[in-house]
Amino acid sequence: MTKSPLSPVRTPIRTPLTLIALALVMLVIVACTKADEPRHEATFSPDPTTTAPPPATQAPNPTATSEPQTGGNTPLAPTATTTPPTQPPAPTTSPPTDPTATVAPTATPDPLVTLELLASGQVDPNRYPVVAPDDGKLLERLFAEAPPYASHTISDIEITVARNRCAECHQYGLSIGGTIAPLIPISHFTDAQTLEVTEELDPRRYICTSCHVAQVTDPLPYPE
Amino acid sequence: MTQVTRRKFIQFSSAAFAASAATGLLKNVTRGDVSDGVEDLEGVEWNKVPCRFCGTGCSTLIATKDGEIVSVKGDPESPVNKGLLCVKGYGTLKIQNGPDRLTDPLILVSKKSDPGPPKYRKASWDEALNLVADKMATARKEFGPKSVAMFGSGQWTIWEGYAALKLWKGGIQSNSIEPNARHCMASAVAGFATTFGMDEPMGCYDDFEHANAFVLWGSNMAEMHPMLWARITQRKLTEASTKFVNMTVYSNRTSEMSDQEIIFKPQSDLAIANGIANLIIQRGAVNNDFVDKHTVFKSGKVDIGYGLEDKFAFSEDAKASSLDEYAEFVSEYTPKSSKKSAA
Amino acid sequence: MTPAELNDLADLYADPNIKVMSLWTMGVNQHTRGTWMNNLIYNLHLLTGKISQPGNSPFSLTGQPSACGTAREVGTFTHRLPADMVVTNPEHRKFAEETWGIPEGTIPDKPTYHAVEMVKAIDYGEVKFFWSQVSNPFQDFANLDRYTDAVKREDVFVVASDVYPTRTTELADVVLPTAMWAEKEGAFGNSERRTHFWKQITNAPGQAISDLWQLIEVAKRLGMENLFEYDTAEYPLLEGWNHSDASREAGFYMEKALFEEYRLFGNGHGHDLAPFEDYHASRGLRWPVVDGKETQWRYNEEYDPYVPAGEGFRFYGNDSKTDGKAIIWHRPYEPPPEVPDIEYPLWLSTGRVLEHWHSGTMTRRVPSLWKAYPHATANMHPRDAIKLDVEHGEKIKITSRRGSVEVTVDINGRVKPPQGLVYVPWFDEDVMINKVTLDAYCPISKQTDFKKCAVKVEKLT
Repeated sequence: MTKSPLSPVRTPIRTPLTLIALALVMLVIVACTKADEPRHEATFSPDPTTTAPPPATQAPNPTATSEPQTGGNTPLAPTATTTPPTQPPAPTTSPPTDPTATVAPTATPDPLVTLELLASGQVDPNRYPVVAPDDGKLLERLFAEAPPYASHTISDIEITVARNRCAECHQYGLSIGGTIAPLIPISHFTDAQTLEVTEELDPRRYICTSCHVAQVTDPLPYPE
Repeated sequence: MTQVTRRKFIQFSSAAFAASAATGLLKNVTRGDVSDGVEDLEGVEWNKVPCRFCGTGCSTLIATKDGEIVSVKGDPESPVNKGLLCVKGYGTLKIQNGPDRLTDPLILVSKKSDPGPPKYRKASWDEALNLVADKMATARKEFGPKSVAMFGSGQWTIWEGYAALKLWKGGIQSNSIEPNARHCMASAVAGFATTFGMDEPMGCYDDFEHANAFVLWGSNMAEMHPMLWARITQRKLTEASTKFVNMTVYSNRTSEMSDQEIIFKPQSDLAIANGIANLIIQRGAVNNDFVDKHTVFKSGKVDIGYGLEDKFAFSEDAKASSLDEYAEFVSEYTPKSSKKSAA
Repeated sequence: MTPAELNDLADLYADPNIKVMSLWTMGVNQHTRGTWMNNLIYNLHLLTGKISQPGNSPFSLTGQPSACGTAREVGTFTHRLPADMVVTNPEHRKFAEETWGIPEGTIPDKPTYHAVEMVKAIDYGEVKFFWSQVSNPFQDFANLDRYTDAVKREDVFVVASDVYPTRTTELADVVLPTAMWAEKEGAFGNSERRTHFWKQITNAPGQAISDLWQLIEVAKRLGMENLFEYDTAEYPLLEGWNHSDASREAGFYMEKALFEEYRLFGNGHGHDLAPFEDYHASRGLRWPVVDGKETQWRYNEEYDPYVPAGEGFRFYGNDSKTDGKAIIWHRPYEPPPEVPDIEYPLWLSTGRVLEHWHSGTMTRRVPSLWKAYPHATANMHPRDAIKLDVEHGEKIKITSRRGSVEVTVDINGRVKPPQGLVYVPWFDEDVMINKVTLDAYCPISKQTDFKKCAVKVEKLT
């Protein structure tokens, strides 16, 4: 199967300056509401509840010769879980909300998709990341400065020359199901060489999924 | 998100509002403001460390505090990744901290053929290394140096590989040393050796910023070389005329930014490459000046097997050729016949 | 592929105004005609003269962080010595013996076993000692069952230096805990010939120590310490530098001593490396580094100091063979050794995913990378799934003539194969897909073709 050759026209993610200003303000508001929370401490021994389960490899388990080895495939570390977590870890922060913040109006993105709207059948579920209950909450990062995770499924999310579906919500802090999409920070609007802030998303940052991954443990839910 | 104090917020927001009407706002905001918090770490030491993972060779900056790694970011001074990192690069922060990290030499006490998991006992380095050396010496004495084998890695540091090479060839007198890179780049090496007589690319990553067209041959760069992928993406988004073709056996993420995705049948890349060569010749697009001055033609052995037999051996049988003979050779790779093997 | 598509590709290569960069990694290299494929891509660039200039670039991408810097440039292969030298050449052996200060005739002149042959040799009884460092061979060799069985024999002694328990350490007689990455002073060389160093910034846990220290200690016990004895005055330990175990043990700067000796092989031969300190001081340098200047485009007089003035281009690696000309090879299409048939009707292809590195021993222990992609899945076309009466998320058994593996089906995965092909990544030690793959290799390069073999798929009831 061949994709028909697209003419390489770039759809710039152009935003009027007022929007940038508003976005920045929202960013700061969001940051502010977290000002009183304790700074995330990077830990080095993974929390047993969030640890990757040691794989089923026969971990060299030093024992005396006379001791019988119990069962097969027992992980080495006694504190680690043996089954993979089935839920994303419970978030330690609540989603940022600010009753005074307004959602920036835009012309380009599609109508806000809520679960109700999806259920009504009025929108094509394949076009939008499906936000299930409990999704959309901010997940604890690997360390404070690590790229945040996607709190919703990103399977098949469209990032092409024509369209960057991630940016359509995350550039404007749009709301799905009551949660505001965290804004793309200013670092992603900074030219690598000149260090000047640009109007448009740094094209090297265009492929969001190179850094931002989802945290789901099963084969991703298939849109019905 | 950085910890923005209340005072800072007010300062910033009024600046934002005040300047929102002016075009100068964004230029006044430096990288340090409203950052991702990376600049805020106190009492840490930053050092450059090449990333542990792929062949892209990004440089990272690692922050340590009291000898513990606390943060990772892309190295802005690296011409390779210019401050960016992919998800694995960020993940290097924790690769040392798995709960079952090996910390003691272990000697097997059960038999390898025993059912169930193997049993080990902890040993001192001295004991373990004495045992290793003893076994090497015994095997070497009874079965010859070639019976002593080392399987190393393209993830060895340069001096580790050099030390192993020296020990094996200059000490034990054994050529039985191989890297896992045999699974990874051997064909590239043999390609370089047979075409150019010397290993390794003639170009460099600067080519990304100069090329007009990118043709990928069965390479899922989006997932496997993400930071180079970022450079191709930048080209694609900033230069409308840049063409990008993903030739692949299966549709993948790399296809999403491509102008053209070409799915081909496994192995038919051989026919495709010859087909393109044929079309180049047919169209009179051969750079005759370059070909005359800088190339010669050769034909090699055909029907060369697949290495399935033990002790399989191969030797090349090269014969001189010419552009005309080469043109005739590729002439059977017409679009139609290439389609047959490729489609 | 359609004729139109072939023509489109030819457009890009044939048009003299288009600067074309060809890029490839495992699709071309892990191929029973991998060497031929590399030759063929170079042919296109040579016929059109689109080579060794900015933007016109047949670029072989490297998979591992130092397959170039270590394996290829140092020459850790059965037939190799550093800087493209080979054991079969008496001049090269002599140079190595003189540089290493060992008697003439020490270095054996015949290659023994390439990687696949090495594990075959364990099976047919010629290899009795096998030491694996920074690798996981008993998850990554194709046709795995033959070799994991072979290595379990009593008369084969296996040593595994690694950081975590793996499928290889569980077959080892001795497991050596090893320092990784930033826990030691290191050097890598990437795809674009850029050598880059780092210093040790953290300590390995417990008794874990670097591969380098292990090798030197074993050398001492074999009476071969002379190979690692260097002049303390020439390579003194530095004040305030966080020296590695190997250096502190030796009482001199071991990494520098080794590197400066290694440099001797390549300097003056087009493989020039800069002095040791330069790599710590910079973000790496692309060899050949001549008079402090790195080389961006080799074989081009404008950028490469090894090309004599007035020649424009010279492929000086072929100086003795063809007087500096590149070779355009006739390389035909030849079919793969195993194709789908009635009994095994599907292609199997293997590879990686973004989140996981190789056999997953490191990345699957990072909680967020684990969660992003915990288990390998079999990517399959929906119609194939329907034919097999298998649904998304169900478990299947993939079988070849060599072995089988159980895996979950994903029909909406990142990889969307055409009908008739199944794709399984190999990072999951619970989905040992290499039990299924075929250990056929390119006869010239000896590189295994991990991308093609024939399988059947059955639903697990």
